[in-house]
Amino acid sequence: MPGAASGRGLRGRTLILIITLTIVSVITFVAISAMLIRLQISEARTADQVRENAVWAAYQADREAGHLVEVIMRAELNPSAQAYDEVMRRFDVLYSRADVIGEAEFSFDVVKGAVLGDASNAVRSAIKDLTPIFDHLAAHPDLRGAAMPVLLERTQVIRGLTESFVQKANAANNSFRVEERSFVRGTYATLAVSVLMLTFALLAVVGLLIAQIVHISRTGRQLEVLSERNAKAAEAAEAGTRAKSAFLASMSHEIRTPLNGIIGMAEILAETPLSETQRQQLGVIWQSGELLLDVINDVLDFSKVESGKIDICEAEFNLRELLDTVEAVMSPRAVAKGLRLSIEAPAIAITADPARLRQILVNLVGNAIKFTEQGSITVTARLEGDANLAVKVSDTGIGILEGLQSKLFKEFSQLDNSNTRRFGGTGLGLVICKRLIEAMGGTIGADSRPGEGSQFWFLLPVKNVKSAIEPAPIVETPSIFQGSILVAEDNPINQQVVSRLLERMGLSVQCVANGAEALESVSNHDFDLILMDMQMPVLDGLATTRTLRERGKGIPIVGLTANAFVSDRDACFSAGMNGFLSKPVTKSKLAAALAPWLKARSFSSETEQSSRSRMCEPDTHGIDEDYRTALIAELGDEVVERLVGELLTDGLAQLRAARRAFLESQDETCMRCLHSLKGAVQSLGFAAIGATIEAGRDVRLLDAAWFDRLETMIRAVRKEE
Amino acid sequence: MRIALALLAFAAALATFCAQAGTLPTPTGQVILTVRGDIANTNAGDAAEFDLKMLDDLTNRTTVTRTPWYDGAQSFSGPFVSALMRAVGTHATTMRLHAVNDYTADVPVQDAMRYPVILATRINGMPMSVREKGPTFLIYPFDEAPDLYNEVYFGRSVWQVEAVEFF
Repeated sequence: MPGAASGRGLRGRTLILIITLTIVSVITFVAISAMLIRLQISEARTADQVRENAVWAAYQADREAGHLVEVIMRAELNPSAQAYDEVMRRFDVLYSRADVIGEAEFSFDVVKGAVLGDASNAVRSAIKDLTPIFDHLAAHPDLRGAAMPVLLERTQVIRGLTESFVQKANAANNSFRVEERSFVRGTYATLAVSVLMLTFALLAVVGLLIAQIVHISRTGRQLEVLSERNAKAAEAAEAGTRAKSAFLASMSHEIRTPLNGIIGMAEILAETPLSETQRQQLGVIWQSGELLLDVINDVLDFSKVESGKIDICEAEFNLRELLDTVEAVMSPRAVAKGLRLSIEAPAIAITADPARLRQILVNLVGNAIKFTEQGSITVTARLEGDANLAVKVSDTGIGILEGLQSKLFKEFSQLDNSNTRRFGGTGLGLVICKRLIEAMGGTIGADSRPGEGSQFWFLLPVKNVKSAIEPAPIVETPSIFQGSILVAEDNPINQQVVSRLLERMGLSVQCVANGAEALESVSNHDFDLILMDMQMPVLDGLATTRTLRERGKGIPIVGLTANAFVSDRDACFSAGMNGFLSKPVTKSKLAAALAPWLKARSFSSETEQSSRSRMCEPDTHGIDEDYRTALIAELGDEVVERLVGELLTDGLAQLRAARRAFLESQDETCMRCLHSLKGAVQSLGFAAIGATIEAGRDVRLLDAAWFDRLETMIRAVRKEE
Repeated sequence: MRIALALLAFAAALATFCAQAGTLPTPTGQVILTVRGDIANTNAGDAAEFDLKMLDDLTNRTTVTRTPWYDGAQSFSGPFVSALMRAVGTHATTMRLHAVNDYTADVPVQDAMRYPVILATRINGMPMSVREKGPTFLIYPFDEAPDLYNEVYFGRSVWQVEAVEFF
């Protein structure tokens, strides 16, 4: 930054210059003030010393001396009493003058006191010396005539003295004036120089100030330009971020849509008869899809975390239940790797963000499972103090090298490349955990010993801790509904997946490919609910929703989007939608989204209904497909399969017991056993068997052949599947 | 101080006009002051002559002041000029002072209206001889009115005054 440096130097020099000039100005000002004060004092002194003009006084004395000489000469020529009186009188006048030049203060006696003093003293003493003579003559007027020549001589001497006094006084006066003039001139010259200097200094200061102002205004303009440029740069950066965000959203949409197809179709495919190999391959497809979904979710979460848009929704929940769900979700993975997953948590109610806590736990436990080959994973949660939840996830895995531990919570940092290959993943999980925990005001950390295992812990502030809690009422999400649904979705795969899932939930479905078609369908048919994709050609979901609302249609609309951003959710609700569903759509998510708007069908009524309908229209397989699908969705494939297995053992046992009772004519026991069996087969959706048992309700109609037929049907259950 | 002086002068001036028409006594002692010119009251032809006693009988004042002609302050006493004017009955604007040595100086009468100007007959209580700048000396109150302490008033402060002419 040489420019800035030189600018700083310039400013520094200017500052020094200004200070110097200011000092000079002040000094000059003080000097001028001092000089003015001096002049003032001198003036005042002059005023104080206003004196009779010495030259005038000397001249007067000389004149009087001259007069005296004159009157004496006249008296000598024309002697008379009057002439002598005049001489006496003139002497008195001269005498008064002698007093004046002796006593009076003259304006320049300070300067020329010595020289002038001698002359005036000479005049005075000469006059005073004459005084006894005149006094004597005044006392003896008869002597006056004789005294005249002496008086004339003495008076002429005085005249000479007064003349010399006049000359000296004049000279002294002149030199005094010259000196005074030169003093004043000198003072004024100094004053003028000082004023000039002051003026120059002030001019320089003004000049510098102007320069400074110019500099400041120029700097201001430069700053303006700079800030404008900065604003543009910030705008560009923001645009970049927006573009990135949009790119991420569209990417996630593009990825989620086909992923939706993959996972959905895999789900559907899993419910069709498959060979073991096919089932395994399907499992791989499904798992890969889920993994990919995890990755996308990670990236999305990270982008949300990165942009600071973390929504923390606090709610009261049961800590033990939350950890149980984590266990339920994670234990299949642990079991698959031969690991033991144990979770310890007190049954307490706390207030925090359960979804975030679950996300963090799933992440940490997932990591632990990922990096542990054998042994166990332990999750312990306990309260620390009154308001802190301490959770520890320990594993017996490979551990982390000490040097790498600091990298743990950094973006996109997988500890080494071989691990990437071995374990996969985005490397974002821990970053997300860290950000989430920090957003909730907590801290996260890890301790590890390579080869022995790792321990991840976090400390989270929680509120409203209650030790004893009532078991939350179990609200079952029904998975079988009544009603008709309009699906507005442009992607054919998604259309198929969603409509198949909906059909399996007992709903009738109509599909349209865009908003315009949706509007048309709604005006022609009555639907109970619309599943509306947000992004569609011709007319998108939001616009369609707004149009419907404007037309006064109150039909529930659930938005469907591959974007999982909060902004999308907000857009849905502000457009007038009632719900929101992010892809990929699974049966449980669908059920949860539909539950508030649709009437559920109860299991029992469904069972009876379907069994009745099956009796009227016997299915070739004798299985109520709809019910069976719902059952699988509700309980899971494995459970249903296990139950079917149990039916083969327990059901056949019950059938044998019934047959024995029939043979022993114990009708009641027989009927009780058959009723139990009927319940079991109906619960599993074997409508044909149920119908057969129902048909044999009257014990009188029973025979051995009926029992044989029933046994055959039950044994055929496996094959039928 | 200045207001007091002005009041004093005004009172004196007022007295001048009030006592316009009067008669002058004849001097019994040596005449030390002769007043001529535009005057109403006379006692010697067209002139008014004053001896020391007559001047003492006029309204007197003692002015203690420094002057350029003496070392330190001196006490001068004598009649107000305004009292003298009243005595001779004059409306003149100028008075010309004649000194023993033929020196003359013109003094505006207004000075006597504005300041307590006296025609001093005594210095430090003693009558003044010609040698002591007598017989009369026009004295301004320099110490009481410092503005007067300059060459203009020094010039008007005539000593050895033996005659006054009003016109």
